[in-house]
Amino acid sequence: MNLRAENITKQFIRKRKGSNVMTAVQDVSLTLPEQGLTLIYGHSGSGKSTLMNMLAGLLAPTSGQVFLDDTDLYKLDDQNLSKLRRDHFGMIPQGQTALHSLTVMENVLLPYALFGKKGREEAETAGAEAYARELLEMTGISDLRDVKPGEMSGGEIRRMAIARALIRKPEFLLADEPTADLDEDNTKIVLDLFQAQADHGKSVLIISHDPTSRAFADTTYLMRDGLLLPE
Amino acid sequence: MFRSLPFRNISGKPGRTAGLLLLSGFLCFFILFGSLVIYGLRSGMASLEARLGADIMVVPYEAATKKDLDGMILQGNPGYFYMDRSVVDKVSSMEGVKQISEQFFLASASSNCCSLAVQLIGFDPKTDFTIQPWVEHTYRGELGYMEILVGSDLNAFAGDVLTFYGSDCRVAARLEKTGTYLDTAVYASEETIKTLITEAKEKKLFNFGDVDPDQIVSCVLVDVADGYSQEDVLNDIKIHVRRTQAVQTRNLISGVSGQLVGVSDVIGGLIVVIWFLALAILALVFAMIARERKKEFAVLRVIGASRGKLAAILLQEALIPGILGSLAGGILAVGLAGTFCQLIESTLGLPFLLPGIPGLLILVLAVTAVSVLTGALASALSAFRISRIDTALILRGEN
Repeated sequence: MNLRAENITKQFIRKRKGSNVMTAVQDVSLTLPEQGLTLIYGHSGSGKSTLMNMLAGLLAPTSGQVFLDDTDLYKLDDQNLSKLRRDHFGMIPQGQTALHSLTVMENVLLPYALFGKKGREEAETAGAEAYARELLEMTGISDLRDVKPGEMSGGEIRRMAIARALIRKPEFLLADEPTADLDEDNTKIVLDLFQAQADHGKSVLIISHDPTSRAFADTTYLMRDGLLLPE
Repeated sequence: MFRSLPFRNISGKPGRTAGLLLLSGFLCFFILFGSLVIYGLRSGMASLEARLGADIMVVPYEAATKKDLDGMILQGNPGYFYMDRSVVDKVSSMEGVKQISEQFFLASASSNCCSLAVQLIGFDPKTDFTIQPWVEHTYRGELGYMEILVGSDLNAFAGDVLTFYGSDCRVAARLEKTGTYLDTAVYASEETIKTLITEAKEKKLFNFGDVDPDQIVSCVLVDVADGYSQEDVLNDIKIHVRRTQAVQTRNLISGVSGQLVGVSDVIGGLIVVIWFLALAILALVFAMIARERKKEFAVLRVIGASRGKLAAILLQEALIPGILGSLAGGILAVGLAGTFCQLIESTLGLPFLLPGIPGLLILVLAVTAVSVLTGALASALSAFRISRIDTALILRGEN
């Protein structure tokens, strides 16, 4: 599958400054390869996360289009766009993204459990519980599977979010600052995991200001003032 | 794998859930209890009106103060009074009188001679048009000599034998509840009551002196013919039948009806206030919950939940404690109303009749539905807002 952005621009109205318009992403075209690890790095506020959210179908561009193969994401209704996101994308958002009433294992299985009987049947077919245990092992939090997020550190919650993003084995893995709360060892574990995904035919996009990631990337872009510059 | 995210969210936050349960339970309890009180008072009054059955009551002048009659009819205080039997003929011969029936009152004593201290009411089965239509709901036979019917509040059943002034009377049937003074009374034929009056006289337990039971009645009930004004017939009786007082039954209960309207209005007003308060509090609670958890909802969007799915999750989280709390509140309200209906009746001094099982079920379901829908309504705005969240901005911590 092929995920591409064609001339996308995103502008925001600055609420506190009257009608001033802030351009977060400006006329960006990008194609994520079917396989490989792509890194977009840049300073805070350069438009990286806005670009990723638009690619993930979470933020409609002001102009331009985003396609998954021939499907224009923003011409889909919410129901179909949500389904597309569920079926093809695994996303690791910024910050702490845990459901606090669920255990680690339940959080990881949430992309199946959220969708009722159908989701549970899919999980059964895919052997999701075994895969979830494997992912927890790979991210180094297997001993926390029955713990709730309130008892975990920021880095552990981040690794749980990575496992959750991978549970449905998505074609595209979109990670926004995935190593932000991690120490050096865990950063390496996570980046190795992403690289392994890329090596196994997945397309991984990492948004980061952390230069460590550059060593793992097949393709690197610099984002500056809303412009995407190949490196 | 867990089966329902709303259930997990509910069980994962016991404090918040307990608060929602309590609020829903309180709302349902108050609305249902208030509705039962209003219903009980209104149907008690309707039952009393139906059971009085006559347009006009003619009673002895000495016993005709409104207070005496109120005491007997509304509070069920046992009493008795008599007038000469000639009143029956005089009243029946008056223009505009369609039918009449006489009744005999006797209060049993609380001494050894009587099983119970109750109001005994004697009627003539041949002319009666007020008691028999009601009696026929539970007893279709002919009431024999020394046979009695007992009101539903008395602890006696068909086949039991009760003693009044030393004479045994067999209970033929127990009557259906009316919520009025009639539920604490005992009914017998004219002949039986006359025998009991004679027995009371012999035992010196009768304070009306040496009256001949065959020459007295306690009251005459009058049904006014169509085309005649009740007021005109009433005035005619007042003018032409001396030493009696004629009372329009409608007027007898008009004061109580006014009191009932007042009590109903206060309770109804309180229900509306409580409902609005509960709606506002629930709406605030759900708005706070939604705000506190918007990042969680953003995560659900990220993993593929549609806007409708988010709204459904929040609505389910509102409905589950709403239904459970409302059912608990409803059961409590029915239990308390059933247990304390006598207390409510005596405190308010008004007839009180709760609905039967089918009516009660309908009322409980209707009020529970209102309570649950209130929770749904209160959460609807938050659910709508949650469904419109800007996931990207929330994830960036800007919303």
